[in-house]
Amino acid sequence: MKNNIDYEYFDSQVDKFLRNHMTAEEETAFKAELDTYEEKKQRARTIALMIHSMQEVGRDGRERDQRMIDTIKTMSEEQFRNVALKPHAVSLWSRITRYASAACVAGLLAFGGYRYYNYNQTVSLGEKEYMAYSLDISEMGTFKSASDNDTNIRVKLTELFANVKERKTIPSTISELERLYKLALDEDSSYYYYVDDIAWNLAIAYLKDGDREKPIPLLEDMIKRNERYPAITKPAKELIQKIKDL
Amino acid sequence: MTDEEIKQNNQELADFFNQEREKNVAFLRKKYKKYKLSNKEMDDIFNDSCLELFKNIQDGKLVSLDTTLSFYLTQICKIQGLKKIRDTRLTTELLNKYEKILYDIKHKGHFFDNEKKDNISILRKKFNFSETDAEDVYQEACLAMYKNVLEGKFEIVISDPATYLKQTCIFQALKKVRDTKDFIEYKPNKVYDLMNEDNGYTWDERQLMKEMVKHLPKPCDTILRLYYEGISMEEILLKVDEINTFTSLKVRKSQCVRKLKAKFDKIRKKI
Repeated sequence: MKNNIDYEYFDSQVDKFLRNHMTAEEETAFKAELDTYEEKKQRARTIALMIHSMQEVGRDGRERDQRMIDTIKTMSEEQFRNVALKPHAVSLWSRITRYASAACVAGLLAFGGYRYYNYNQTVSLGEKEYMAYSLDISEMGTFKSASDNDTNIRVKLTELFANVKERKTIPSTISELERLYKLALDEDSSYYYYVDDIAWNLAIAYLKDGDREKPIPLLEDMIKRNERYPAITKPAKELIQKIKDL
Repeated sequence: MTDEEIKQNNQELADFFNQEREKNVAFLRKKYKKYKLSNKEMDDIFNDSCLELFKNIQDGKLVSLDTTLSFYLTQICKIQGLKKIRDTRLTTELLNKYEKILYDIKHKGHFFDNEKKDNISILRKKFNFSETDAEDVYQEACLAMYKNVLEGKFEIVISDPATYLKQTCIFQALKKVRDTKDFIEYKPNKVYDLMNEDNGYTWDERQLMKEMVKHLPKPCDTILRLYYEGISMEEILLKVDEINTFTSLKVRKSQCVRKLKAKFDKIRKKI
């Protein structure tokens, strides 16, 4: 019997049975069929489990969707943009943007919840500043002094930095960057050459996680290490100021 | 709301929109292939769609959903994509052509006769309608479009008249399907009883199935999810781009169940 089952027909029978769409006679015959053919019974049971799981997953999904709708309802457009839309690299440094942001800040302070505002502004600052530093540092090479045998490290860092940039898996990315930053502070470590890249990305990751305390010491250390390199100290100093202004 | 809750909700939203961006850009690339939209244009379309979604929620137009938020967003992307195409790709020549068609419709010209054959064929193929049913639906669609054109509701901004008529046919067909078919929900006690035959499944097995259901490959995820939510096969066919006929959809649905079951059986043996 194993090879003669018309699955399509059988599935429609299971469907009719589970929807109470069979006559009493049909139902008795169907049950007898299940008792006779083990394969059919197992398939029917799996279909039932699948329906049950689909409904559970569907319910979870609907609850999540509703929660997201309710969250969006409480947001200002600026807050929504920060969370949902990709930041644009261009014009982040322009005075106009900064003044416009200042105007938004004033508006939000007047109308938004202060805590919510603080959290979102911190995250928003993280979104904007990532691009800013990337643009500046790219002139001197993002991965300065990288030698050929550093490929693995570069791959790892590129992945972690991409997580920061795209705001993916932030908590685990932070803990990994923290670990690497400790290693990078040691001059003998292979990560030493990337200490500032790691520090900057870690600072941004903290901001994207809504934390505005932890980035400051990291950025201050960056400034100390790079006194002769304004391309690094300038964005670091500006970011500290912006965090303090929040 | 605590800081932690705000953080969690924001992260959930950020993850959702990140995933949706990827999915919808791929969708737009495929759907509007012939217009060769650039990455930046597709990004802009997606951003505009998100803002439209935001606006709908803020204006109270979207309070709850009878579909998923993901599907709702994709529908907005579709419309925003057409708007972008109209603004950047349609020539004055083409727009004038559309205007002529509208004039033809208003003055009872041959537009509906010219489009009849194609639309009847689509209705028969996609909805499994008889010739008579397909003709009825087509008549209703023509009437609805004619009325909209006379009342000035038809907007050239979205699409060309032939596409608009096709969409109207599909809409009328779905209405007919919903009116005539009796959808009966699964009876929870029957599902539960059958599932629990032979001592039932263990907790691990249930979790396994739940995970597998969550991560079904395309198009099985859409087909099975909608089917078991009680959506008609006709409506599912419209939502699955990869499949064009009613018969193929039925076969594919059965294959999806068979594959899921086979994979489930294989993995559960290892538990």
